[in-house]
Amino acid sequence: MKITFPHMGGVYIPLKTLFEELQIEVIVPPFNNDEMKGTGCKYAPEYSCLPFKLILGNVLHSLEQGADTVIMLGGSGPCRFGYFGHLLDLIAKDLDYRFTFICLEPSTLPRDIGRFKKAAGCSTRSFISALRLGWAKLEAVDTLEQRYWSCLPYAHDGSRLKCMLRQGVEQITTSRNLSGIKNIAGECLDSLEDLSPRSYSLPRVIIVGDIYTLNEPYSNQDIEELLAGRSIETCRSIYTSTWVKSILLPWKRKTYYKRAKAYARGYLEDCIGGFALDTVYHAISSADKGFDGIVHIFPVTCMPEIVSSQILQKVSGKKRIPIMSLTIDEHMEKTGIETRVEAFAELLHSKKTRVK
Amino acid sequence: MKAYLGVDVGSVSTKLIVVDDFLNILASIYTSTAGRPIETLQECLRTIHPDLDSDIEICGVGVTGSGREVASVIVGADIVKNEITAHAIAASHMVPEVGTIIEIGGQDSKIIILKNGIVTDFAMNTVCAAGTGSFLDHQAARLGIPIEDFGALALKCENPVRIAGRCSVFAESDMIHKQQLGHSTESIIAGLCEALVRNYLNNVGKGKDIKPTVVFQGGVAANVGIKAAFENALGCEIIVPEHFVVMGAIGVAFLARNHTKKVGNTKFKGFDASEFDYQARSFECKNCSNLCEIIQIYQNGELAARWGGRCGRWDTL
Repeated sequence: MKITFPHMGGVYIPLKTLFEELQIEVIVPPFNNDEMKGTGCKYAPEYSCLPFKLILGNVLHSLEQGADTVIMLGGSGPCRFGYFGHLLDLIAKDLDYRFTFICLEPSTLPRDIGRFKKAAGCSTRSFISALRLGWAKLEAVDTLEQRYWSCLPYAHDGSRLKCMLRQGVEQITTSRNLSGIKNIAGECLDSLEDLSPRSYSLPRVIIVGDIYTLNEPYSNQDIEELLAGRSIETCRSIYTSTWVKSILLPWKRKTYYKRAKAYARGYLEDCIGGFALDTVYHAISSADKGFDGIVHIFPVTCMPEIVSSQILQKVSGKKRIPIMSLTIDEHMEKTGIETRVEAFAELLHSKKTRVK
Repeated sequence: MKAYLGVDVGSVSTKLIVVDDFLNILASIYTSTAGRPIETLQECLRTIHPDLDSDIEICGVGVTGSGREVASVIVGADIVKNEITAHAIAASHMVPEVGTIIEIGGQDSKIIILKNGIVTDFAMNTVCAAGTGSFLDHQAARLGIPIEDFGALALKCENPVRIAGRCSVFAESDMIHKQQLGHSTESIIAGLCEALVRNYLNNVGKGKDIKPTVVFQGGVAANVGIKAAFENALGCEIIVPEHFVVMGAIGVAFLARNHTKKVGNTKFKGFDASEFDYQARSFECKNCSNLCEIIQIYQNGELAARWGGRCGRWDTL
């Protein structure tokens, strides 16, 4: 078994760890770049969204490298994303690649775990310990990133902070025991704080949107970095680890949606697919928490986010919080996004000074 | 006399203005970028120079527009600013009570909401340029009507036909369909103006709190047909400022003035910059899998600026 999976931010870290611990060969595609996008665009339906095109590019690249098993976090959600895995499977098979496609969905998860265990010839116990190690890495990396974006605009030396983060992530990625991961993360968090003393307060922005665009820097055009460069503290509303935690465990899922719907009441009454409800919920709860602005970022043709972007206009008016909506597609015109980010940052800074 | 230069290098047109300390316009140029921002800007510098009195001294330069990075290297800018802020500053200076700015340029359209002269909200078209100047230009050329007469023709019509304004390509096929059915050119043009306004308000203006005074600027503001369609749709009077095409350049000249007064000197390379030889070259950085496209600008064969990398590797020259 030679396994591969598409990228979505740091998701490759736990997946790689899991399969390597099980001694299954893993092919990690190169990080997203123009080449990945090019391949994806060539074979994807024209009207599919950028995340699909990138995912397809990743998978085709790995198949070319000899992968024989493709896994994808399918999700049987009502968004088109639920079908993406299957569409991807068909496109790649039409291109004459021979491989097994495994779409990880809650209902078929036990069967798929059995498949991995069989391929690895390992016990349930060692499977669980590999899974725990991978999970710990994902949580640690997400925590570091979260802290990094909140610290970066305060740092005297941003490049040193970036270096810190990179080192931390690298050490966590290669670490093989749980306590080691905890220690590295702890030390890294401390140094991030030490390097960015907060003697003043900068505008703070919540970034909302679909999980892929939020967590994949190539697809969101490094929005966090651009905002940090304009002295804006950012917070990502959905990290893969927090999302998996709140969605995968049935009892947590119930509380999560109950809370989300309670916040969104009067704006959006139910889950309408994709991450629309999450977007509305996070926007409203962050406005209540005192954030200074909302950035909504999503790919063109993403129906759930098109709906939520209309609702966010209403949120913005009622909660008196500025919002900037960015739609992302294949064309990567940096100046265009910089124009908007710069203007938005100026708006937030001038608002903050006036309030003072 | 002290004067300030404002440069707006847009996707379709390049604008240059020189203002005095009180923002009175001493000279201005509006020309097509023609896909060659560097040559066009140099040509503009060459043309505007003789129009200025010999005692004028440029004490500050500001650049804006989608070509602002290249332009800042060529003129030696004191301030580089996004178009949204530049337009807002100019409008609030010219029309102090402004509440909403509608700006439609060659390839983008924006709405800016202000309160007491301060931007409180804005939006800009994201992925599609439907309903902007380029499309109007194209339609005028297709119908064989000079773009200057386009708006006035629309006003002559009493029964505009309905055109789908959602997408330029669909709008065009819709217009051709109506034209083949025998509708008059006037009614098609008037229908197009209405469609563009409908599309603008539904797209960029969606959910925005459009309050008077409404100011309409950017190249498309020259079109009286579009202006009338906006007035009709919004039910209020719309002001088109005298210098509506160069508002971005005015705004950025104003910012340059304030900035250089604080700093004390200017980075302006002089009008001689028009004689330098500039070349832009690019390469793909293969240092990591990001494969960034790095752009380098050479002035007389020497590297003058570089950008495009996602890491800091190429930031220093």
